[in-house]
Amino acid sequence: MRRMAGLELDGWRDHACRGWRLDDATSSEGHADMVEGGYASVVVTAHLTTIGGPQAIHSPIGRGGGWGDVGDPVLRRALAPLWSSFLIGDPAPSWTSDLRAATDALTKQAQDIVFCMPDRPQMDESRQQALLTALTGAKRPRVTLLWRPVAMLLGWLETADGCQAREGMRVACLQHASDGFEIQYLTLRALPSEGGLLVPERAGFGQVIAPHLGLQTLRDAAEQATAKANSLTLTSLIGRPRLPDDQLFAPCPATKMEVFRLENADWQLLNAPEIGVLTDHPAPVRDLDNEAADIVLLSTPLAARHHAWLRAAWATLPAPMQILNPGASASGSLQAARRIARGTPHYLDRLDQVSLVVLRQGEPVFEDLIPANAIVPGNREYVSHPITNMVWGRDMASAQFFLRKGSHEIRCWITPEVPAPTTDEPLVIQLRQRPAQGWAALTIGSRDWDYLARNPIRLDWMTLAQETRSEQEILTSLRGKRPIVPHRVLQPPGMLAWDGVPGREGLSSLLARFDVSRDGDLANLARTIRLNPREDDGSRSRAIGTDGDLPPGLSLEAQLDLHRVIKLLAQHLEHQVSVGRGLPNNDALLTLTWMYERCPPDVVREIVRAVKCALSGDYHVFLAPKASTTVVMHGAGRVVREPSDLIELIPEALAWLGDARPLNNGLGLLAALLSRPVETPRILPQLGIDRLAFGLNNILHRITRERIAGSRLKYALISIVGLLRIREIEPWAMVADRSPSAASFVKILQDETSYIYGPKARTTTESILEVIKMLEGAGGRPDIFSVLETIED
Amino acid sequence: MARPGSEPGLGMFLQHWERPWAWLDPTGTRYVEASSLESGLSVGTAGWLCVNDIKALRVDGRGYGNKGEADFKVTSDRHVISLPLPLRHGSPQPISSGNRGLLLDWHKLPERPADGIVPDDDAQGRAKALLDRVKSVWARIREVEEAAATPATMWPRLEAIWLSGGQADPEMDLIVRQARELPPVLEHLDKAPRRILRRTSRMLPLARVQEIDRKAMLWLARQPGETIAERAGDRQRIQAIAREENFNTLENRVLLSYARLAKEIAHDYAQRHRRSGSTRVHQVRAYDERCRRLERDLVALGVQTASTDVTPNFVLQNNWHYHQVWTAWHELLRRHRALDELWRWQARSWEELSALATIVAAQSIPGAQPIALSSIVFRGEQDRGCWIDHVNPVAVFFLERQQLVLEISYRQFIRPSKLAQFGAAIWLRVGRPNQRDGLTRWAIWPLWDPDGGLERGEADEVGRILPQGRGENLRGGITVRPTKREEAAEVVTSEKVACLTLGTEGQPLADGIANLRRVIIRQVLGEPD
Repeated sequence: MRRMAGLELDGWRDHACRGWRLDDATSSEGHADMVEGGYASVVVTAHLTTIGGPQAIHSPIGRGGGWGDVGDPVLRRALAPLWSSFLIGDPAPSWTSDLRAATDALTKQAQDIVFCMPDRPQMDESRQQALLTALTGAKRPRVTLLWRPVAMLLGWLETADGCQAREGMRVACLQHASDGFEIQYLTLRALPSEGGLLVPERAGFGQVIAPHLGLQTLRDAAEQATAKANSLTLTSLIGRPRLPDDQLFAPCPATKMEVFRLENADWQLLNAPEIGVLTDHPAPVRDLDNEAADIVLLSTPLAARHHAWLRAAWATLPAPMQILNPGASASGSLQAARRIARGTPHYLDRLDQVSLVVLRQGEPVFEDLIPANAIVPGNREYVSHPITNMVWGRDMASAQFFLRKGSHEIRCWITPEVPAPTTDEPLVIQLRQRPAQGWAALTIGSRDWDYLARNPIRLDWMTLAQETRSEQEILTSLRGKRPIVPHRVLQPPGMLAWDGVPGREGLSSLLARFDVSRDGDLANLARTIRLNPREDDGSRSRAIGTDGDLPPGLSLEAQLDLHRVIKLLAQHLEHQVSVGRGLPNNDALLTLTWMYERCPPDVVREIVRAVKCALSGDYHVFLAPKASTTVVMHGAGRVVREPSDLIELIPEALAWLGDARPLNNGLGLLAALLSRPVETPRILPQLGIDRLAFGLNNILHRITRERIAGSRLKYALISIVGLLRIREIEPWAMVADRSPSAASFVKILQDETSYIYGPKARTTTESILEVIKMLEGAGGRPDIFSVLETIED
Repeated sequence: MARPGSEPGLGMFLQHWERPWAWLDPTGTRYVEASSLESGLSVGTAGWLCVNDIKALRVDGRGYGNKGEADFKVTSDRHVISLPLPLRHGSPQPISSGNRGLLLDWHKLPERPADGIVPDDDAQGRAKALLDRVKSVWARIREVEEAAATPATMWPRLEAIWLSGGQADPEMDLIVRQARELPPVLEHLDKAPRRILRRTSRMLPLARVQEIDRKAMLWLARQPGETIAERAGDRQRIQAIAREENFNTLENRVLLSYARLAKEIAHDYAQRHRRSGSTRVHQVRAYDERCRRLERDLVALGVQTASTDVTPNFVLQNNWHYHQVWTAWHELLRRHRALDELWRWQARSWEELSALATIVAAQSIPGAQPIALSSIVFRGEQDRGCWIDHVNPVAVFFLERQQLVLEISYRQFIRPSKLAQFGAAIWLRVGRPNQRDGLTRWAIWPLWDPDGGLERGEADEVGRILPQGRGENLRGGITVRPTKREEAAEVVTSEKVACLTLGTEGQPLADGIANLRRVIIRQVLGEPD
């Protein structure tokens, strides 16, 4: 087993816990030697070597001019202020070598070190990374960082008191620090997979409270008191006597005097203040009451004789408080090291959410690499699901990504330049992170693109520019111009057909005198209702709109008449169906189907049945008259509106069209079903847009091969554009550069329609151009259906 | 008073010193000045050279080679450096500086014996004892590194390790570590050493021919006969490729060389500690046996030894097992070379050991509280017999009972000064807190000697030079010599001088330190019993 050590190194009281016997080469399970690192520790420079640990504390280096050349104070640096400057983001130039020296002094021969770090918001990934960089290197031990409260709790679990621990227990951990107390709440969880092993669960950073009890404040006060007791000024104590530190931290009995060397090399006896230090009654801390905890663990470098003083400060705690033995965190770290070596989790941590902007269905959205509130075991690396739907565009040397960390921090990442690929290359983006071990590793690789497969791009978090824009602003800036969505066929009703045009009786009067048994009335009605007279403004409109709506100015009588006639005709048809007698003519069907969605549902149902019969070649009463197939199929196109019917009819019609038969009726039905009903876009994804596109593609191919123009081409084009209505749901669907189906339509329309030319075919060629534009997503017009309607037979 | 080197008119200057205080020696017996003719000199101890220009110094026709640094300087142009012992004595060793020269005859001192030597005669016994002392000194100094693993209590721990006598384990050595870590590797390699199949061209019976090459085909074509059987002749053999196993590869040669070296060193270690019942010795003894067996097996396979300067091949670098052996072999070779160096510089190692012993003695004075203890950095490689980097003062103790401050410095006076002229490697300085006066100094001279034991008249000799340091508050001097072979530590004291001997292990070491402590308490601190 490897030689493992836990290390607690805050500069106030350092400890290492060694998991092996010194005279034994390898680690022995269960063995733990506590290595005292001394209190108020320093780092000194001797002959260009940096030395830490007790050797440095005791060494004469930097202890004032009285010690000769080696007494130069710049050669001696206290570790606690070095930590403080590191945490405020301004590390001393010697920070790396100082930290290494302090670590090495206590962990000689160790191969694995678990290093305690303060749990406060400043300890973000960049500082974790800085610590790891400082502590690791070639021929150096492996270092794992661990939050100090977690180490503290693990250390407590090892002690005799740890038997109080139970699943779900909430523990408040207080760590005495330079500027107050670091507080963190941890919850104990039992892992069923590890036989109920208790592990602390951490959720976010701890906080610093009670600044008036900070160790630096206490030490300054003790130094003042010492100077005062010896009638000296602080300036004459250049060599920083150890007496104040002894008073605060030294285990009993406290030293009462120190032999101190003055600047002139004379020895002076310094006496401790008679009454000692920490004499004032501390101001009680009240910041803690709002969050409940089952137990409070406190770790402090102060000597045991000051614990009563400390308890007085925390008198108002809502839970029992336990002051841990010195070195508890170090021994907890060793436990963590052993758990890591065994492969069991030493704690559970919550990872910061990390999301990447990706295009989902053409729309930029933040996709989670690490979901919010992800709780992961601390000993294992979290590996995200790979994002595979992104593409590195051809001729692109570098790409831009937007990453969101936490809830608000957004960074823009421009990758280093790579040799641009010649085609679009799909990417594999994956994130790996070990909790509290510095930055997550985000890699962009590729399965097929050789260059990226061999040299995946790794994200360097430190170089990322932080975005000032908000999340929404970034998404908006990334959102391209969406392709045009065709408006469905919607023709409003007009009064002209009701009122009548010169030479033809209006629908109102026809309905008023309508008698179903009178010869000619029905035929007349059927003719009139489909009239499409031109209004004064040039537009044409039928009596009833494509949604079955009536003109707003229509009189109540006319509406009642219409209602009556619909009822009569529906009864008539029902009767025919019920007796199974074929219709004498198509007039009743024509009349009802030209009323579009005003056609009664029962009739619609029968029409759908008739269409199915027509498609399968079976008999139906509606199919008895001459030319009834056309009437039924085109009529169905006008009246069907239920999604269930659409789902049934569209694929059937398409399949029917696949065989070599006259295309007109089927195409008419299909075009109408795809272009008119409100519900069509919603059922298209269910039907499989690519399958529909494939079928239509074959039909279009056949049309161009057979050099067909006119209405069949028109219907085909309307059907194709009808498919584009899916963009109401998926804005970027059926765009030629993403969808092969769309691309294939474009190819056929561009390359194989050269047989349509000449001034007469101008509307056709122009319409085709519009359709191509729509398919390419580069323009087109929303009212494309009305354009296509103008194609003449 | 006649001072050495006072001859005027000559540019170059070269003296051989028998004692470090030779500069102040009023009798003129402790140095020999070189003349323009190479004068022969038979030396009985390592000694020092005093020169005016180190760069001009030639030992055996080569530069002295220590970056021009002096051990100390007595005046600005008189550099004193210690002289290494030669490993072998051939003809007298020429030493020259410019036109001055000396021929040093080392025959009074033993040569460096082989590591595992079993002495035949007295001379070899003397050499073996000296080598054992060198190893023992080295072991004591290395124990500093072990003690430094618990830095807070380093000096008490060092004392505990040193003074545990025969009770505790014998010293941790490289061979102990290897004896713990390597047996599985050797076991594996002994069972299945790597081999190569070598293709050779041979006459083979027809039935055993598996492969023939162009050369064999040509041979076959030239043979008379129609069929192959005819061509094979009456012995029915043809030329063909035979594949032979061969174990004499570089990696196996290295393995054999390692086994030989490890066996010797392990045997030597086990012999030195044959009376100890420690598991370490058991392990090393077992390892000795393991290496012996491996050596036998490899020799039986026809493996030869490798020379120490071979370049590692792919197997040695990348096969995990062989790489372990390669690394271990080089560690042992380095250790072997380190022993050579230690032999050469044993006088300086003795100074280092004495300094450590002084600190151990001082810290064990009742009521001693450390005020300052220099950090001790154990060097990766020795520097002329020294392993320890420190700053001065190396240790300062407050002696509560005596209300005194005791400072110990080691190799402090390097720059020319009055105190540097005394040439003492260790200095004690005693001060009293809150008082300006009352500073006193004591010099400690560690004096290496091949045989050890006290030297008659040394106390008087030291007593005679002490008055020259009166202006510097020099109160007294102590000499520290090695104990005689298998004899107890001795001490003689006069009012201001103490001469004592110090063992390198076990009881003589403990007694030597105790004597030193008593001398410090009684004479240096002036406390009556």
